[in-house]
Formats: sequence, C-alpha cells, structure tokens
Amino acid sequence: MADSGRRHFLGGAGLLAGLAVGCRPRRDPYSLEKPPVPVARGVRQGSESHVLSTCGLCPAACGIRVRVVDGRAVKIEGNVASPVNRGGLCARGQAGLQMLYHPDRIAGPLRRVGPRGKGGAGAWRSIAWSEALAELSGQLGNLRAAGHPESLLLLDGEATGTTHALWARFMDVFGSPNNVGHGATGFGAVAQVMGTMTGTTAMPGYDFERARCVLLVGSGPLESSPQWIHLARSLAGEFRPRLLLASPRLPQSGALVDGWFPVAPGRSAAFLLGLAHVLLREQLGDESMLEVAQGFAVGPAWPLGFREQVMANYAPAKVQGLTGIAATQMEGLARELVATRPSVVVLDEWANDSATVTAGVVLNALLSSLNAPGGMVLDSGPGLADLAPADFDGLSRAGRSAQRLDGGSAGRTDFASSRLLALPEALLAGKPYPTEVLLLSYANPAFSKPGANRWAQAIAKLPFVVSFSPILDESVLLADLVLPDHSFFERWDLVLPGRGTRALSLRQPVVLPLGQSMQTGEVILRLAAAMGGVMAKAFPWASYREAVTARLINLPGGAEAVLADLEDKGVWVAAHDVSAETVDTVPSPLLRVPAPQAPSPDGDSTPFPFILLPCRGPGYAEGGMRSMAWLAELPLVDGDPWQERVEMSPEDARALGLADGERVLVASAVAEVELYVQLHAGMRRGVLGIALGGGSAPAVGATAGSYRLFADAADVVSGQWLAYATRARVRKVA
Amino acid sequence: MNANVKLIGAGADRFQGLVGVLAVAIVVTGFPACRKPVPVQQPMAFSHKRHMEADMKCISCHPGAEEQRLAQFPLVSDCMDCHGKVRGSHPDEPKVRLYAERKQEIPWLRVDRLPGHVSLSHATHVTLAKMKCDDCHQGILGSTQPLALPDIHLKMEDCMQCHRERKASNQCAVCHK
Amino acid sequence: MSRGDDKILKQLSRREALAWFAGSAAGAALSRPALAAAASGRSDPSHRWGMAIDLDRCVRCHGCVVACASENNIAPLGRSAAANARPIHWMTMLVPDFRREASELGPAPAPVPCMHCDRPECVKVCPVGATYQTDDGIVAQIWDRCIGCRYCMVACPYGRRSFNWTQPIFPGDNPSSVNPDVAVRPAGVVEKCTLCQHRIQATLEKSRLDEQPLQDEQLQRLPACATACPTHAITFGDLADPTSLVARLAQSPRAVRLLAHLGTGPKVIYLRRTR
Repeated sequence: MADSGRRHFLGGAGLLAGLAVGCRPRRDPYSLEKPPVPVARGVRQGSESHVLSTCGLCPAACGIRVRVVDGRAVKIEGNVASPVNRGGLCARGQAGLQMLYHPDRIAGPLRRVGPRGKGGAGAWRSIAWSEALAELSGQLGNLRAAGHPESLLLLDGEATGTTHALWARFMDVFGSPNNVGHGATGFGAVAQVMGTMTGTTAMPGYDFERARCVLLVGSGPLESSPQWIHLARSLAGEFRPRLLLASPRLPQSGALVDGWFPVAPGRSAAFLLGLAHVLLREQLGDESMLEVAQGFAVGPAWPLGFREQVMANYAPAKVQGLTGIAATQMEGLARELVATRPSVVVLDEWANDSATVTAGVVLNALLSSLNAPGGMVLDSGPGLADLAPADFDGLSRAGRSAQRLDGGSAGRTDFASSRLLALPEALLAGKPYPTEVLLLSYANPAFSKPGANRWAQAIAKLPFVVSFSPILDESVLLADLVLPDHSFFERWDLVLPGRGTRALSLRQPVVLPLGQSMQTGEVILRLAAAMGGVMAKAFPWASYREAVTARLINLPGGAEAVLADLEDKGVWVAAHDVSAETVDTVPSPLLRVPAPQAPSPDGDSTPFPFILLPCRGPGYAEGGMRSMAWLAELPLVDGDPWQERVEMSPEDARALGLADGERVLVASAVAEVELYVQLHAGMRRGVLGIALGGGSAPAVGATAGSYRLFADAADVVSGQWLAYATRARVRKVA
Repeated sequence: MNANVKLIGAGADRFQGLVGVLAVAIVVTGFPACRKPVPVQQPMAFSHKRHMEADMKCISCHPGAEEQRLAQFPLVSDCMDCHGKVRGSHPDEPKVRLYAERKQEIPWLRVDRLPGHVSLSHATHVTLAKMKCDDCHQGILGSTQPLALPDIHLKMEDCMQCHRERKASNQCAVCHK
Repeated sequence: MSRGDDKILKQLSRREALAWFAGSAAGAALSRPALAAAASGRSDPSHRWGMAIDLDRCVRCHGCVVACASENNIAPLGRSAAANARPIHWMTMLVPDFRREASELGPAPAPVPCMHCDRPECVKVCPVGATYQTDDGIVAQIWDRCIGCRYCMVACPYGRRSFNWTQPIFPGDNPSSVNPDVAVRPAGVVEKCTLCQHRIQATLEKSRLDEQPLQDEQLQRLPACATACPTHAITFGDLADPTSLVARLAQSPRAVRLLAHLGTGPKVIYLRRTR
C-alpha cells in the first residue's frame, strides 16, 4: 500500500474513533440515577420533609428525625425532643440508611423450593401473603389438631414492646411453653437479678447527670450497650462525673475514663463484693434498704446470708489474686465511692453474670444510690396497660404445662428466664419431645450466638422453619417460609426506651414500604384470625395500631392526648422526678438479696493460656454490621476493616513473637479461626479480645464469624451464657 | 524485502494518526450536538399558556418556588380544586379526575435538571433576587404542551453574568456542590 | 475583578483541562495562580468559619464519622475492594500509635476533619486550581477541575485528603439514600471535608429569607458531625465573631492546634484532655 493511502486510512480511522468517543451519550458523573419510588398520594414531587421516628438498631430506642426528599430517606439525625438522646445519634443509628436500602432486603413472602442452606436464584418462590398465611396457619393448626401444641418453638429476639407482647399471647393461647428469648447472651442477667431483687425485670437507668462518681463495670456503656447514649447525653452538660472503669479491656472510648481497673474476665463479681466488704466491714454504707430485704442477713429461711458470705469470702486481700486488682486499690476505690457521693455502680447490660449484677445493686443500696438522684433508677415504665386477658382452652393449658425445651421450670417463659443455650442439644436430640415448627422473629442464632454451627445443624433438622427477618441472613437460608417484617423505617409502633425515662417513643413510616413486606405484629393478628377458634378470639384487634393504642388507656389525658404529643414531638414522657420517689412511700425497693457463693478458683490454663473476651465496638449491631458498610469500615484499625481481628496486649504479643497485623490462628476447644493481630495497650495480659458481629456475608457454615470461637456453656442455675469461660491459644499461620 | 517498507504505525504515520485521533476527540467532545437529551413522554397534555390566560400564578402549582430549593410540582388535589368539574374541551382533561378517583398523583416527569455538581435554590432567586419565573424558564409561559425537553438553555457564563450585574457572589461554592 | 479573568472562569470539564495542561508543567505554572485567584471570586469575607473539638467530651463513638459519610455521600468500599484501598473518611478518628510519641492531642483517639488552614499547603500545589480558599476561610474544591494528580494529598501535612480510586459504589447499586445537596464524586477525583459548605449556604440563605441576623446558636451544631455528636464535643461557628462559642473556645487555655509549628494556621481547634 502506498504511504499516502496508509495516511488516509489512519486519518479516517482517527476521525471515526474520535466521533465514536465524542458521540457517546454523556452521563453526568456528579449525580446518580436513583431507583423509582412508589409515588405516594399527597406527596408532592420535589418536596422534602422531616419525619420523626425511633431508631431500631439497638434497644436504646433513640428518637430520630429522618430527612425525606422525594420519597427517599437521605439522612438520619437525632430528635432533640427525645429524653434518650436529645438530638445526638451514634454511628449505628446513622448507618441505618444502608439497612433500609440494602440489596439483600427480602421483597415479599418466600417459599423455599431449593435445598436448605442456599439462597440465590432457584432457591425461592415468591408467594402472596394470603398463600403464606394459609400455609403457616395450616401447619400450626395441624399441631393443635394432633394435640401437641408444645412442639412449636418461638425464638423472639425482642424483650419489650407490643409485638413481643402479642407473641407471648400467641404462644400462651396456642399452648406452647417454648417462647425463648435471647436473655442468656445479653441483658438477661440484669433482667433476672432485677426481677429477683426488686420484682421488676425492666432494665434500670442511671442518673448520670447528677452523679459525681461513676463506676462502670464492663465497657458496654462506653461502646455498644443501650446505656451508652444515656452516659453520652449526660456529658453534653457543663458538669461531668469522675468516670472509672472496671473491665479487662479499656476500649478506644475509654479515653474518657479517669481510672481503669483491669479486672480479670469473669471476676467482676469478686471485685464488687470486695468493695462491698470494705463498706460493710467499716460500716461506711447505708444498710437500711438491705436490712429489710430477705436474704441479706442470715435467717431461718436463709442459712447463707449475703452479709455473712461477703465478710467470710470477699475480703480484698483474699480476692486480689483472682481479680488482679491489689487490695489497696480496692480499699481506696471503696472509700472514694463513699466520699464522692452521689456515686453509682453501673452494670453493663451485656454482662452475663448474675453475681455481678447482685453485687452492683447491693453496692448502690449501700451508697444510698438506689432510686436516688445521681444513682441507679428502677424503671417503673410509662404506665402502658397490658393487653386485655385472653381466654384459653384445655389444649392451651395442657400444652403450656409441658416440660420446656430449654430445661427451664414450668410456667410462662419470658425473656429473663429463657435458657436459650440449652436449645441446640435439645433440638438435635429431639428431647424431651421433637420440635415440629420453629418461628424466628428478630433471631439469627445460626450466626450471632455462641456455638453458631451447632445452631445451624439443629435448625436444619427441624421439619418446618419460618423466619420473619426483613433481610437475608443465615437463618433465612435455613428457613422454609419467609414472612419478611418491615424495616423499622416502614412501620408504625410505640417503643419503650425504658431505663428510667418513662417515655414512649413514636415509630412511624418514613418512606413507603420498599417491597411487599408486612409488619410482624400485623402478621400475628392475621395468623390468629386465619387459625380461627380460640386463637382468633384472643386477638380481637382489627390492626396492630389498634392493639397498641388500646394500651394507652391508663395514661394521663388518655390515648388521644398521648398520640397528639407523639405526633408533635415524637415522644411522650410521663412526669417523673427521681428525688420525688423517696423512701417514705416505699421503705426499700429490695425484696431479696441472693447470697454469693464462695469464689471458684481459676481453672487450668494449659493448653489454652488465654481467656477469650467478647468485644462489641461502636459499630456493633449483632449480625447487622455486615449489612451496613459504613459501620464495618469505621476507622478503628489501619488495615482491611472487613477482616476479623483479635486484640492482644503488646506484652503478650511480644512474648509470642507476633507483630501488629500478623495473621494468626486462634483456637478454642470449639473452633479455630484465622484472625489479624491488633495490638491494644488497653488489653489485660492473658486476654484476647474477639470483636463480634463481623465476618463474611450471610452464608450457612461460613468459616469466618467469631461467635463460632466461643463455647456455649451456660450457668446451671441461671441459664446465662458463661461469656468468659472460653479459653484459647494462639499460633502463627504456618 | 523492500527496504522502504515501513511497518504500519511506525514513524510519521503513527504520529499523524495519533494527532488525528486526539484532535477529533477534543473537538467532538465539545460538540454540542452530541450531548442532546432525549424527549420524554408526559402522562397527559398540559398548556401553561391556557392556565396563564386563566390568571393563574406560577406559585399556585409550584409552591416551593418562594421558600424552598425546588419549585416542586402540583398535587392532583391542586388540579382538582378547579378540575373537579369539567373545564374546557381538551380530550385529556378528564384524565385529571381519573387520576384523582384512583387516588394517584399524576406522574409528571421532571425534565429540567441541573447537572449533579450544580446547586440552585429557587427561594434565593425568587424571593431575595425578586426574579420572575420566565427570567430563566424562558418560553414556558407561552408553551401549549408539557415539557418534553428542557426549556432552560443557560450556560454557566449566563448565570455568572447576571450575578455580576446584580452584585451576587460568583464564588464557586455558592453554586457548586 | 477584571473582565480578563472571566474568560478563565469558563466551564472547564476535567477532560478538557487534562487535554490542555497535560505534559505542560510550564502551562500549569502560568495558569494556576490566575485560576486560583479567579476562583475565589467575591464572597462574604465578614465570616471566618472554624471548629472546636473538645477531647474531654468526645466519647469516640464514631457518630461524627458516619454522619459525615451519610451527609456527603461517601461511598463505602465494600468487602472486596477494601483489601486494596483505604475507605474514605472525611472525618476520621485518629488513633495514635501507642508505640510512637503522642501528638499534641495526647495518646487518646481524636476526631480529625480537614483543618481548613489559613495558609493551606494543598492550595499552593494544585496545578489546576481545583482546590482554593474562599474568603470566609474554607478550603474548598471544584470537583470537575481535579485531574487526579494527588499533589495536594502529598502536600497536606495532616493526611486528610482521599482519592477516589474507583467509581462510587453504593451497596447493591442503590443510591437511593444519596443526599441531593452534595455532588457524588467520580473516580479520579481527590476529596476532603468541606465543613458542610452546602449547609452553611443553606443557613445563610435562610437567615436572609427570614430577614434575621445569623445567630451563633444556628451555627454551633451546623455541620453534620456536630449535629450528630451526642456530647456536643464538636462546635462550629464564626471565629471572626468574638462572642461566638467557637471563638471563645479557641481562646481557652486548653486550646491546641495540630502541627501548629508548621505554620499552616489550622482553623480546627482542639481542647486538650484534662483527665
């Protein structure tokens, strides 16, 4: 080819290439095409509004204010009117948008057609609600018809609220005692002990605003427990108390703390009882409330009195070895708590140890900090009425008197008394009787409970499994029927923040439901109606909203006034002043003080030299953190934030020859997991911090997921998870 | 082998080819004809001219213009204030009542969109600067069909010119997100 | 402002800027000062925005980090991309390495946004005038001018600029919750904290519409991070107003600025821990 021809060819090719490049449709790189939303009646295109509602990512129930533009939620902020958060909002609350619009949201009822354990195309068939309810009511009707209603098992992850109340009613009338809550792995110890000692199982609050010295036992109130927001809110004022932490680990937020007592894991009871010993021995405390409580002193019915046990076994000099805190430090702390009043001992709601909770309540009584300004506030609730009593039939009574699957004593189960950790073995063995139907509401034990793999095996064995989860998770992958709940952004409810606030917080839809989900409270009503008979009669309300509103009758001003306040401000608060509840009216809120056992010696530390400590950081949201990428990617570490880590003290790492960021194998008696080392100066020696809630996307039997490392052993008496009983060893990856 | 044969792409040819591609790319990239938007199909007919002749104000249907960033669109209830009974004889007019009966909003498609890196507040321009709607939305008041294509053809220079004349800020951050 | 400058203010797309300046360091040197000068325009120099962060109140909850990410459409990396890049944080929590010397802020973690320096290093080195300083003190950015050379990232002594290595990916390709008041930045652009400039504009506009003078109370919690903070550790305001809370906090004996010895003049002031 001649040169000129080549030139023309290249010139022509250049022209065509240039045209091709230039004539592509121009996409605006600075904005994004958003999926369409259903155009709601009365919502003006281009309009913007702020909707008041309540966050649902933890039990704190902070008030939120959501900015909605063109039918889409674009920003979540706090509601300044809420007594819980007064306008502030934590990392979790704001990441809620990622949950609302997550691609793994389940769009509508599903019936499994593929094998269990798998998701994806071909695993499910979308069905209508009428078909889904017909199938489930049929299955449950069969159980009743066969005379075995006790073979229905419900795992209900909520502890308060009207949906929780409806579930309890459902199980009662249906005739099953197997209504098992999640208290065993968190919140349950506090609920149980508060119930025993004061008669109410509600979570106590703390008057941080007026306390001068605060002893936090466990780091939950600094990071992930619902108490966190109450502590934080109090720091927005001009005055702040002296903050002390007793915990094996000083978290990042421990920067706020004035003193850290690195108590050995599982020894916080001994530590607190050591402090109580000092106060009792030197008569520095106020014993008036304790003296009228049963069990504080030795008596005919109480051969082991609390006081005698503490004096005999818990002198600081005796427990300093176990706790790792010198006797002089404990003596000093006890005196400081007395000298700097009002002082208060704060119990971490995640704490799983009844003895610690008992000791904490006793200390608060000794410090005159029970139901007093600056102290622990026993929550009496805002005054919601219970649902009107239901009628039962013979089958209800017979079923409910059956032995409980979780081994607890007969009678109505509740959140506090549930023994969740006994279930996998009971289900696998089919003892004391086989379980036919499992309902999972706010529950995903195949990921977020210790012994998660045992849970997956147990659930896989059951004939019929139903999940109400709004988003794909491990338990959904094992379910036969999915009846997705609305996310909390899409449903109406009244939420109880509790913890002494005496408030009701409004939850209302901020956007139209994105799919065909249905609020679980509504599903329960329709299910009962579909079952007919005694079930239908026990649920006479036309809608969930009607059932909730019926509970407002006793409140001052009645339902209308309360609802008007809620519409206006997002919250309603019963008038309350801690100092008004004086001991004149009630001599002591304490009914009973359980006596502690003598402290058990440390176990054998070989071949597993470390104790595993469950850690829940500022982004912790049970299994939800995996769905909210902003939380998973918080700047907590320097390396890949999605990789799971083990926190270790620098001295321990040096002794093992490990560097920061190195991959190691952490092996407990139950599992072995590969993790990154994260050096943390605030970690007690001999302890490994395992961050919970991270890991891979939902998949059954996934190898990552740190819950699997923990043994699911439970305390024989209380059923509580022995959270600090798992030991482990570390070795380098070969 | 002929020593004069050069490989395609070597030397002067390659250079000229490359320049050719670059030159065309640069020129064509800026070529306005290649950025034409696509006309949309609105749900029904609407004549701004007819409504202006009925002495309506822009703000009655676009209420955000005075106090908010976006002017917004009318609700079907706004239309029903007048079209609750038959008005005029256009064949599409009954559709208003149909939408209202079905409890649906009329799904007007938004055509005038600023690029994603530009921010504009109607409130500032209408209330503070006391501009008239057709200062920017030129020709809308006389249009007899709903917009199928954008009616605003302003360039950044046009905005800046007006800002200069009216002594408003030309700082980047004021108009860019 | 001369007419000549207006020509330079014509809309430049990133592609055109690249084509004009590529390979021409001299060209960059000649045009950059003119671009930067022209970009600042005329604005309201009566304000001087600044921020104070009280390290006694900060609970290190990371609420500010996520508030900023949500307000400013910072796309997360996602599991697979996170192995090769750092997630972008306009507001980050600086965790000091306990093995090295602590910074002026002490050994505890601290929230660190852009310092909005009075003498910003990043503005000095930007070859295309994509980052500039407004008259009211904000170090602002023009996304479309950025050519991704990342000189500004090298120059910033605080390391508070981030580069978009990839197109923003919102989980499941669902950008429904993207804030319409803030542009989404494409790949190849450097980004950083803007002190929620869009919120400042909205607040100034509202005060003009309401015909009310600007109150310090409207400003104290203005940026997303300050709004979210439950302990009110972050305070925003006008440093030029001596009665404002932020100006008073800046005079506190606890006040300290990061790397003050470098002379950058940061306008984010920290109140040192007293415990």
